[in-house]
Amino acid sequence: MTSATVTSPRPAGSLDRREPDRPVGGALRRLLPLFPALVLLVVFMAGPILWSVYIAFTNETLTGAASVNSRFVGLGNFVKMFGDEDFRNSFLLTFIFVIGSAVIGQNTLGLVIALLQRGRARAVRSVVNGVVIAAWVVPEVVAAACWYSFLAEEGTLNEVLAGLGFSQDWLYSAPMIAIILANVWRGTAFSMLVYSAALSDVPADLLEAASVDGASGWSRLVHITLPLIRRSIMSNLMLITLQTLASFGLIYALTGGGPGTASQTTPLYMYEQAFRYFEIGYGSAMALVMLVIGALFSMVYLRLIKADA
Amino acid sequence: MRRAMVASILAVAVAAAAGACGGDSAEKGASGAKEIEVLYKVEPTWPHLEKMLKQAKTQYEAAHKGVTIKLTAVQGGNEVYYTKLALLNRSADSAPDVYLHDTFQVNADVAAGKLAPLDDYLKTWPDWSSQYSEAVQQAAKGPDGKIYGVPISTDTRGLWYNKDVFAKAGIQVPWEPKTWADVLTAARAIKQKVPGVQPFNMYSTKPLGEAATMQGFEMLLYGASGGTLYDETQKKWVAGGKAFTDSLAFINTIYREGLGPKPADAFDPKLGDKVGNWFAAGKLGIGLDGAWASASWKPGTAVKPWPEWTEKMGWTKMPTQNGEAPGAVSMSGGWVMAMSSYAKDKKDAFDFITIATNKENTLLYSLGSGDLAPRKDVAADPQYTAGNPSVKFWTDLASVTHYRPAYEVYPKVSAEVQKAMEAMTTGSKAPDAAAKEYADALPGVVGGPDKVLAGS
Amino acid sequence: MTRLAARTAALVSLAVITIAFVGPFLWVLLASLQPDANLTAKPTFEFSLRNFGAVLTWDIIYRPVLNSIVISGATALLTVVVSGLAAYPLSRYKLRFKRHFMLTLLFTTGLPVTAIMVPVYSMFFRFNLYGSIPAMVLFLTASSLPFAIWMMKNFMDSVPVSLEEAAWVDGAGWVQSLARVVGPLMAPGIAVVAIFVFVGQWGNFFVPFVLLDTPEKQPAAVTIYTFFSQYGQVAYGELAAFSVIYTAPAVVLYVAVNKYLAGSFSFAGSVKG
Repeated sequence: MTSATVTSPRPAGSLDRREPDRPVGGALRRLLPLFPALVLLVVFMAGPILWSVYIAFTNETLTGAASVNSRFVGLGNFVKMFGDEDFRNSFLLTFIFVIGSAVIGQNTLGLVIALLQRGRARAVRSVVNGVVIAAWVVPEVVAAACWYSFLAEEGTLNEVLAGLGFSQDWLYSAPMIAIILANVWRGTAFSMLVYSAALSDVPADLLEAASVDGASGWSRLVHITLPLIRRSIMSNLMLITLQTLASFGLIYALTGGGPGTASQTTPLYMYEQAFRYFEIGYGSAMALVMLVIGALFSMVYLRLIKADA
Repeated sequence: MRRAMVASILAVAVAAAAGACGGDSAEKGASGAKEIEVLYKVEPTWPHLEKMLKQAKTQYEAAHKGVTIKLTAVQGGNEVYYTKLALLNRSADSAPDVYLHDTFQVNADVAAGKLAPLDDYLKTWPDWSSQYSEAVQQAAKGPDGKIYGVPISTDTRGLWYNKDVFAKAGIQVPWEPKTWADVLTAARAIKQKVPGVQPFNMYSTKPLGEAATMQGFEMLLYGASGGTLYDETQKKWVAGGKAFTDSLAFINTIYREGLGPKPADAFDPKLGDKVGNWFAAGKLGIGLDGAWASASWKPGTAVKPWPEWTEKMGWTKMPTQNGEAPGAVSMSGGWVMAMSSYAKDKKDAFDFITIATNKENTLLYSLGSGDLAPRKDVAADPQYTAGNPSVKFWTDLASVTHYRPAYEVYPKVSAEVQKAMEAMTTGSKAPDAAAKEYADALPGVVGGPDKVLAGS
Repeated sequence: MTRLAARTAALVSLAVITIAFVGPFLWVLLASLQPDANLTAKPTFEFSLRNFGAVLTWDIIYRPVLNSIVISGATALLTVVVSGLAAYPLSRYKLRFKRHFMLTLLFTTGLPVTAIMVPVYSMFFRFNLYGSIPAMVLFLTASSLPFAIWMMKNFMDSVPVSLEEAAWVDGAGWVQSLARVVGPLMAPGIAVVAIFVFVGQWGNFFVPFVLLDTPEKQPAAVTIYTFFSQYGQVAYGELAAFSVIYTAPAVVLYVAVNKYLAGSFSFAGSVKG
């Protein structure tokens, strides 16, 4: 998910090559260091994923008669899913959540913070970085506790707003806004770090020259900076989209998907089906749909990167 | 090649696991020594069952040399426990031998063949016929008529009310409502005369889970004429009908007139805890709740004890809709100790159940949890009634109580009921519209229109 | 003086953003120090460490945190070793399916872990691994790998191959080259990967909850969740104190690598493969 330039500021895309003065060993020997990783990935990731794909086409459950006698139901789960009002609702909410908290929220705020920090004093940068990163590092359950206390009816935000007469229970009246804000708070650090690194690669003399030519700050941003970091933007968008799509813990701990189904995104609905009603066949089918959606998003971003390259 | 690799890495992992985890697997394989694994749940605020099982373990091991009881706790609430148990029950290796089981999950496990029938063993246990009433014996009866668990607790439901609030509202105590209308009248009086106090509380949303369906909806439905979720004679689920719509209409009235919890509280999964605190603080008038509510006030079991509750609180039967016979309604559930069909030493496992549910242990548990005792000798024990003047009332409600149709699909039916109740809570639908939606959804949930009976 | 104006505007914006980010933290920090904490971050002049005293017990803090250290530490260590090895051929050789492999890995980082827990759970039972911390660490390592291999490969790409050539001339194989030349040069990168994985697992609730059997083995993430849902209405102060203690190690570790963190997020070219 991340890349590095610790000792060299130059992007390293060109290192693929054979070692010169060495006898060419068998392909197997060269791949040897990959084996431990491959074994772990095959056993603990690929295996379970394939099994999930299989049970997505069965009526497997955790309890009851179908748990001992599950059978193949073809596309039954998928047909049921698209006729399921709660699923469609969750799907729409997931879309809103991803667009709102990742594509717009984290991405924009991360870029804005990174831009604002350019050329600031070291002390200023440390403080801002520290606070933003702290929000990212905090474990999910604690982040949820922070936001619960912040937004609850007797919470800090209402205490602040009390004078203005805005006071309300935000988690009840605006659950989607609550989880989107909480996720922006928690995830912005990642985008900020990505863009800070990308911006440091933008040659200062280029901006200087444009400035001398009379280009405004805005036009420098649009015509020079953004095109130069375009690839970072797409990569960042892809990663945060995938992560946000799968986001579960924060929402679960903060609103539990409620009130009703008002903030029940697909991962939460999937969890409810699989672990509360024990419909693991149906739950796995939903997971499969989520995987396909993630793949589609990734392909769009990758295509954009490629077109650009 | 790949398979060999998979096998070898798993072998390494198994070896490491056995070495690092206190040799669990080695213990089981050891010759001669038998081990019975007992699964149960524990919460920081609910240690009562653990206390009881630890006492039972000591008693059992003293009497049965060579058999060890391994107590395995699941930390968390009911939903967490159901999930963990279902996962553990997936394979014979991991299934516990004996476990705490919610009566409403029993039928699903019977259908899957996970539970062992106890009838043959119960015949040899004199307490079963002498100490458990016929109604209590049915608690974990499977669709095949066999018994699958020994009750450790039972419960009934009714109305709690705060006498101070009633005094301020000018309502006479003891309060004995005869109809739903009487309940509403009292709630309206509180709303009018005692500002700042929530008149009535009931559970009506999905986050409250089974508490909403059972304490909330079924307490209404089973008290309305002809009201039931399941027709026992035709073996079909009942889709809507007048009783169903009327029950929803009652909930609708509560929320539309502002007699119930604020919407945000109605959706709070911790509403149950709040109710205990509100009663103690004089902030709540009436609560449709369970016998165990006093556990949150009783010194010794409560986190914040409120010893005055015996004076300040009143309790009364939940009336039927228009006072139809028998005049009151109650719902019962409860927990049993059940035995896995995978248990290797079934006789030993059953012996442990009889010790865990003997008089001494049942008493210990009932005193702690505030749950009603299923055993006659415990119910008659002076210690049992001493700290809790309400217990006789709740125990006697067994005469009007109903059991849920706890068949395999029940949890999903329950979820549909909660959906309809939520529509009343938020006011998003009219009662008849929500009832119709329930009727439409029912065939899909219970496995086909042939299992559904149109409501009347 | 537009320059000064712009500068001031930037500083003011940063201040506003910082305050907004601090907001949600306030309650936890204040409530942990106040004996009668409730949900509002409204300081009284009464401060005490009583909440900390109440939670600093073997069952509530020490054992779960110790478990967390063992689980997260072992996972981080194993992930660094395995991903470091895997990154070497990916960084140094032309391989036929490399691009596809890397993209698959990237895609896996967005996999909802809830989706595969049921099969993982079944597998753990079938092979009698349920409740085994070492086996769970292997699974956690596998789930951290896609991410770690990506980071490792990109760190490794930035170590010029020319530096290795001297070692090859001396007859060193890839093992020595990796251990003696590449490893030390990318030490900061390795630290970033290790800490990234460690902190990721530190907050992991779902996997240990599903794969471990007894409360004695559970890490702090599970304990605090239980604490949160059980005492949520009762002991705000203690909950806040628990949160502070539980969060501190993660923050401290990040501060330790903060210097290298910014550099490790350079993306250009990485997705191109």
